[in-house]
Amino acid sequence: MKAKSVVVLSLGLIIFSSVVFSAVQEQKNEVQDKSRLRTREHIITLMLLRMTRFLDLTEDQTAKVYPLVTRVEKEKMMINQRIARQMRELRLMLKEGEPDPEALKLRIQAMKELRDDLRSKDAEVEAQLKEILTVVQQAKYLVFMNVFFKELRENLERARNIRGKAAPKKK
Amino acid sequence: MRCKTIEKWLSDRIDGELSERKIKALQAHLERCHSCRSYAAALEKIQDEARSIERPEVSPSFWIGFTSRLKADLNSKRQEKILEPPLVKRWRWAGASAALTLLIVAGLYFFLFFEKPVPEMYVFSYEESITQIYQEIGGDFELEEMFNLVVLASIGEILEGSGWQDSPGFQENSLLWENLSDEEMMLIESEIKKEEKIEEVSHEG
Repeated sequence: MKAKSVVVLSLGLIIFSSVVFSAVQEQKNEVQDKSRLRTREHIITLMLLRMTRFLDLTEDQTAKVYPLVTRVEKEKMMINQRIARQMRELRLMLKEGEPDPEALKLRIQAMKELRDDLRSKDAEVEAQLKEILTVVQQAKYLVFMNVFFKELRENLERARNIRGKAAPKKK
Repeated sequence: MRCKTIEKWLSDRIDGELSERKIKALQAHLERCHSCRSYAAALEKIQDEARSIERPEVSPSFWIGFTSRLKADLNSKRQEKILEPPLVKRWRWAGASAALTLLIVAGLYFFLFFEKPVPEMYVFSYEESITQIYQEIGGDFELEEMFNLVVLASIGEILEGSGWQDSPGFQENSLLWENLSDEEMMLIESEIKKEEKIEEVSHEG
């Protein structure tokens, strides 16, 4: 009787701890997703501000470009969130000893569809920009993309340096 | 015992300046060391040959002022040596200087005209930029937070430069509010409440 209750108690503890662990992990993932979304929003804001100056956008053009990019960006964020979720599930499936091939196929298909959705959003922005911008501005846009990318990389390097200074690594 | 010492002792023995004790030690060493024995034999041979050379007859007038002539001769030779270094020596220095100059010139040329190949990466949409950045960040949550702050600071710099704070309509900019997180909104709310309280207190006062 006593041994039985110990076994039941242990099993209960194991189940409880695994539930708590998965809940904590889920919460951590949610926090990370939220943080990533916020960073992404800030990047887009910075890009729009820089782009306005670099391309010399008129008020009329700004009024068209800002809502377009903001809307498409929101849609892309949703897609990216779904991709992140799918990716996590895919990783979990691959961790299993023998994942079900049919289930894997479904995941792969879902990921491909999401990737295509993202591409179509980019294509939409490009097509709209072609309508809104002059040819010179379109050329400037291509240059700007790389200038902005460089700035982002510099910002990342700065972030690394700040973190390095804040918490020096132990040798 | 070092063979160098033995060579010196051999020379001293010829001059008759070696003590009995050292002579015994020298003999003992020569019995053991083949190279010193050869050296001693060579020395003895030279000495024998030197002895066989006949001394030239010199007139007594030759010795008059011999020392001062010798000194003057030595001095002039020394001066020549200082003023005109041997040709080989001069060429050695010239060669070294030329090589050094060549090295410096080559170094400067490569430094100025041959830039290090930096792998350049081109992007054609902001999505590509963001993807690349996220790839670099990876799962480093702390780095991402720091990066977010740096990006925010860049936005602040631009907006500050454009005088957006003075503009009466900045709060109507949807971009400003849309991009604020819940925490940031709460912070703004608490700041507004604080300001309102300060105003109330100053009115009552």
